[in-house]
Amino acid sequence: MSIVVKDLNYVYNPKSPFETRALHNVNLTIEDGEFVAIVGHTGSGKSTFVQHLNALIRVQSGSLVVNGINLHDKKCDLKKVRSLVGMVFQYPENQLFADTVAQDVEFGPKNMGMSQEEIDVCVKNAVELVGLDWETVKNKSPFELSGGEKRRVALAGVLAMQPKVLVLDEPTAGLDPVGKHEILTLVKKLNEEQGVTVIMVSHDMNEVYENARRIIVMKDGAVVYDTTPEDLFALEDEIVKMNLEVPYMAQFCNYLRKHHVKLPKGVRTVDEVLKAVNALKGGSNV
Amino acid sequence: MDIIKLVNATYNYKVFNDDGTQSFAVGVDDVTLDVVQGEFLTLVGHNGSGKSTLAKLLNGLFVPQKGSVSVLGMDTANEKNLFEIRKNVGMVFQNPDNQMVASIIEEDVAFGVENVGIPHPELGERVRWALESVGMEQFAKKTPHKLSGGQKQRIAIAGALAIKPQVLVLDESTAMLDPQGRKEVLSVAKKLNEDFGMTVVLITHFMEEVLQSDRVVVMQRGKIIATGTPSEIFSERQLLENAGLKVPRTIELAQKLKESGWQVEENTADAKALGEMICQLL
Repeated sequence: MSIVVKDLNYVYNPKSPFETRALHNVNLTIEDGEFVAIVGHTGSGKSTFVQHLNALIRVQSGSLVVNGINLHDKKCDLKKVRSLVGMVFQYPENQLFADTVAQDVEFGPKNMGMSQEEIDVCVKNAVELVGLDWETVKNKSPFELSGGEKRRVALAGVLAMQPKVLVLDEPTAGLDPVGKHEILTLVKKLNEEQGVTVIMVSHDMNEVYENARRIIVMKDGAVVYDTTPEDLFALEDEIVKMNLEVPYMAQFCNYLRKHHVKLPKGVRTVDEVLKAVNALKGGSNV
Repeated sequence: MDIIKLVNATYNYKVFNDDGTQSFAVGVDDVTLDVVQGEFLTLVGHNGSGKSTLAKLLNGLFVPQKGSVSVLGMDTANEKNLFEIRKNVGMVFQNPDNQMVASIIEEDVAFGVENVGIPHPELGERVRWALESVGMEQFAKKTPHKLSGGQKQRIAIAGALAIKPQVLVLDESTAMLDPQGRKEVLSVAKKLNEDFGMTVVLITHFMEEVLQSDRVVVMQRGKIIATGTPSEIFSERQLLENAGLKVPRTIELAQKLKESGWQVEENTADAKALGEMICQLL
């Protein structure tokens, strides 16, 4: 199941005084099971791009093929595409609406036409997958839950449809550090254990650096970088020029490498960096 | 001098249960705190720790159910004081889009000043001064809808500033902004504190934002669990983690390096400076 994008262009309000070019010749392929982050300034085209992936925005020019379904085709199977690609918007808890958690989570599968038995299984699995206790929460109102829990219920609503690709638009915005960590751990688990392809839009470079295995940088509607986190943030000056932040651990490692200190590749988290630095003197005592 | 004094202030929320009974959810629980004139105070805590409830107690939007809150010696429980209290404690909230009241920026900034009864031409001067102070004077005649989140929050700050309050409370005003917008708002807050001696109370859960403050208050489940300078607070890594917070990554690395025996400054927030220290030790 891959996503192939070729020469994708998109213009808002075409042929009017408000004409704005939002995507400019985007070319890329995302394979099964990848964890991709899309970063860029506000207005760089990130959201326009991800909304193409489940046909919320239809292809104007160029081509986009998701798992063999050509989204340029006006008659393509939209229902199928939307069940393959789950979309989690920013502040998804604002979309909770039902009386109970169970009813909220089953809304998607119900609309997809699953049988009630299938629905019951999917819903329970999804709620447990996001780390909530089914028996405790199923009859609770989603509005009684804490911020982080609400967000997980909203996420469960998408996961219940068993998507193969999960698109998340700033999934950790507004959460405290522990809430952030919970959501990211969950997303990582979905990716590693269930093989779900993850495409995450984020402004938090530290978070992207530690979790994604590929980063796509967008600027003025075009893809300007498409590489690994290590290679991207080694280009410190270019990143700063684009008004993006360099993750703290990358800054630290870049400084050491610039001063001829040899560090292994792929050290990204605090503990990985700590281990690498401690190894420099062959032990923990200096 | 204390500008705001909270003494054993408690504020709980009513919860209506499905079975028709009522219970309480903790907002702020028995909090005693002084906000000192001219300080930059940062209030941190997990989602639901009571930070925003506390903010709303500071200018009488909420009145404590137990204990008291006074601003410049005026009790917020006395309704007659509220006008004077709110003139002195300006507040900016989280969502930039919910705080715009007019379709032209200078009119938006003038809204509060007009309501406190400032006549022309002082009204115009204050609006100009407020917009200059947040670096948005060139937008005076424009519409707010096309601004970025950070710019909108600066306009909201200008609106509070034009009333010339003694204290500016930023209630998670950076939470919905991108990194650029957050930087803009923080540097404006820092500037107001340094240049005009304005007392600033910043409420946040971005631990990096704590660094520039004089004093930090940590909240957990409605209570204050720690108070201190940023470095004092950061040295309590375990306490912060138990409270749902985290030390910024660079400081965590510095602390862990020190624990491993490297002679580095343990509260180094600058990753490059930390790199330099390690290079010198090698």
